[in-house]
Amino acid sequence: MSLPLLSYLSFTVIFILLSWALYLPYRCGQLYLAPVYTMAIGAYFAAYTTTAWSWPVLLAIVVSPLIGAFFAFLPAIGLRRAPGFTTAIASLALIFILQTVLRNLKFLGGALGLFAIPPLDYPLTTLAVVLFVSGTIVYRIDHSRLGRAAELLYYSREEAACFGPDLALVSIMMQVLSGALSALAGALYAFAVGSVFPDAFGFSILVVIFPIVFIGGTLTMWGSVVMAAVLWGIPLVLPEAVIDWKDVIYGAILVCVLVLRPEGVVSKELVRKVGLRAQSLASAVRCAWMSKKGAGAGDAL
Amino acid sequence: MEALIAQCVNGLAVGSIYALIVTGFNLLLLVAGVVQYSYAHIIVIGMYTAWFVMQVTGGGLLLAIPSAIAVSTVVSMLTEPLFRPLARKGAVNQTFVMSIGISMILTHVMAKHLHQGIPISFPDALSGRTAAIEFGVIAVSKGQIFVFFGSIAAVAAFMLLLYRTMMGRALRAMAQSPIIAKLVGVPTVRMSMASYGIAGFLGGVTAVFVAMSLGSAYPALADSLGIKVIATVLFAGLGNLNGGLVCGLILGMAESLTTGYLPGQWSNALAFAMIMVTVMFKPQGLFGTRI
Repeated sequence: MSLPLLSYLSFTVIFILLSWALYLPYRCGQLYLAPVYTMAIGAYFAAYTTTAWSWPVLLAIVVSPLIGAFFAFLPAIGLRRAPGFTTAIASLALIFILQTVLRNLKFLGGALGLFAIPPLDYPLTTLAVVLFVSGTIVYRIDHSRLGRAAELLYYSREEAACFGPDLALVSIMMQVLSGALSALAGALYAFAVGSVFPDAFGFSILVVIFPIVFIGGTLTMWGSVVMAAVLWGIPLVLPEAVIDWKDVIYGAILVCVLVLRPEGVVSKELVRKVGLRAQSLASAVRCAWMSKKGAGAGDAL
Repeated sequence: MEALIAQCVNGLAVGSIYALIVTGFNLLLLVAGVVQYSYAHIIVIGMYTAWFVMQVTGGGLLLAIPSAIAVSTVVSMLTEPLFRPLARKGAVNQTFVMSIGISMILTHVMAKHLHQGIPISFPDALSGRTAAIEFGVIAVSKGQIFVFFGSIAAVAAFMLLLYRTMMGRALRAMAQSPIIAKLVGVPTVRMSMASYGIAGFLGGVTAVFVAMSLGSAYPALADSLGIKVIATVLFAGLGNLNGGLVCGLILGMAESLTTGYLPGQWSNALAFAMIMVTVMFKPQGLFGTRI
């Protein structure tokens, strides 16, 4: 596989994971920006363990979500009752605190960071497995009691409280899951790029995730999947002169979508319609296959 | 001791700028119901305008300052129709995301099309770096004095407008309840537009003060200012005008003192750690939320 295509696929998977990490707490109405913080932790963890302790790459990938979940749990205790916008700024503060700490830690390379990180042994298989497992978990959460409680929280905290779920617990669980997903994305980032440094994990990552989540749609997990592939692919197909305007294009699309279709391009209704179409198509194919099989059996008789 | 006094003087000048930015930001939050992250970008656009006019006119302050104020006001008012649909629904989180979209566009314009992204340096006529008062190692520049007293004058003028005029009464009514304000005859759309205009005007004045204080500008300055201002607003309590003024000064002093006494870049981390601790124990901010 060509290197640019592999790079495109790697970053698409990384940004899908990060978008899901933003999407899960947003389901509770919390604009949680700490995925960048846990992504940095995951990336540094993977980089340090594979270079300094010679851990196998796969082991680092498996352990990184646990580390991310732990580091997300600590601030989640404090942020469990914080209202939507307060969470956004407090979690943004986490990013800047971590960046400063990383810049001042000598064993993590300071401002230069860590480099010569080994690449993935089987990149395509690893990316596919990571995406499938993470997607299944997010899908199951979306359709579980936890997902429904989170959705209720999104629409009204007061009404959600009347229905009985422990709001603080729902919020903590979503933030912890978000931490695990983003740390996994961070580990993949470290292996895809080969180096990590504090400035790589700042506001610039948020500027990429925001359009993916908010243009894709904040009410379903599928919007992020579609938009990560589309928005990350746009610079590959655009002429050189237009690529320079990439940020303006992303910013303008984001503004337009929020004005014209605040729920995003991929809405729940759209997912339902596509699901029904797919179901009817599948049953039509099954019927055609059965009738063909029946005709074949009749001919044989 | 002299070094401490020098840091405090610098902190007061920087803090008064933060207080002014926080005031404009809070006005938009209270009256228009938007979290205008790109407000800092509008201020930096104002700085670029002042610099550009000074380059063209050969350092003419009389034209540069009104131009900065005019451009900031116009750009701020141009964003109002974009925020209106979200503000009507009370979608505060989404207004923040939209302002990030606007900031992406403004940052691109500054980074690629204004002086090719190279930092600009203001002539001495505006930056006022020459010392006006000197005691030993303590040197207070003309710019610092002007920024401090200018900020007080700007905030005082804004408070007079808010508490002594009909427009101010209408703005305060909208801040308390847009629906009731509409019921009692306040033209809410016009007042919302006015709040963007006033915030933009304050932003233009701030642009001149930041130019005096820093003496230079660059595209990344907007993000740095924007994040600090939002953090200060949260620290004080969302929409709390008086709290914002106090916390703006506190942030300026804290930043100046930590830069002077702490190694490396720990000053930024300390400021954000303070905010984290405040949010964890007092989610409504130090002085309480007003929205």
